[in-house]
Amino acid sequence: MEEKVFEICKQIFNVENIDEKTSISNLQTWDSLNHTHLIMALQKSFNCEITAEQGIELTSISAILHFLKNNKSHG
Amino acid sequence: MDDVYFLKGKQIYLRPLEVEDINGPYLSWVNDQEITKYLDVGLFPTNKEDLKSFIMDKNQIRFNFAICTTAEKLHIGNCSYAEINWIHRIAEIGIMIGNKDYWGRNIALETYSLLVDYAFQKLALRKVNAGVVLENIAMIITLKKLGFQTEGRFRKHRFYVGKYVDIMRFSLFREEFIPFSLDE
Repeated sequence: MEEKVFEICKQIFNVENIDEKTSISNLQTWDSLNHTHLIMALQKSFNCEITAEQGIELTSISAILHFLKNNKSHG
Repeated sequence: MDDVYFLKGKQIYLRPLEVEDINGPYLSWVNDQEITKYLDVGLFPTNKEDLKSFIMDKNQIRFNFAICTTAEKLHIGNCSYAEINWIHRIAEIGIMIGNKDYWGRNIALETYSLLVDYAFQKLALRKVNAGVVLENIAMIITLKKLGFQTEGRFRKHRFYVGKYVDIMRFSLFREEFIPFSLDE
């Protein structure tokens, strides 16, 4: 799952390196437009629903991984 | 207008809002339903006298700034500290980018970074707050990039664009602040 998240993020943010420490605060290309694309990509790739309130909290790779692990029933 | 630079960034600078600004694009912004979509201004037609009264109304809990481009000295929006509480050392921040050509260009990010830095460094404020409509993802991401944390959700708290919407509340303490710089 981690690798899939990393690959999605590398594509959306157009960077070569993504790790568990990557977040909105240390990645310049993580802007609002790319964040919206990210949420849509996560929903599609992991077959899960992400509410608006959940989506605004998924601003780090660690938060995304934590969310997906706790929503495995959808994946 | 000879500008005064109160706070200076790379793309923009902040200066006092002047009465003369009512003769510029400011008046059109507060009457533009798209710009005021999620704001409490613009519910009724606003004229020059209304704007003049707003600018002239000086007090110690609200300060307004004009946002201008450094390159052309163009007035593109306004921002503010509001509800400043000098005892509890907290304040709200707000922004309206009226010139649509400057939407999506990190103007809000740079503006808020300047405002927040000044609030902590010079005004010795302890905590800065902001309220955002849940659907306004762009503004929420802007706040998150600066280190703002979610404090809560006011359910169906405001009536905008034909429906009741949730308002998310965010806050930032000095030690959480992540300054934004275009030089990164």
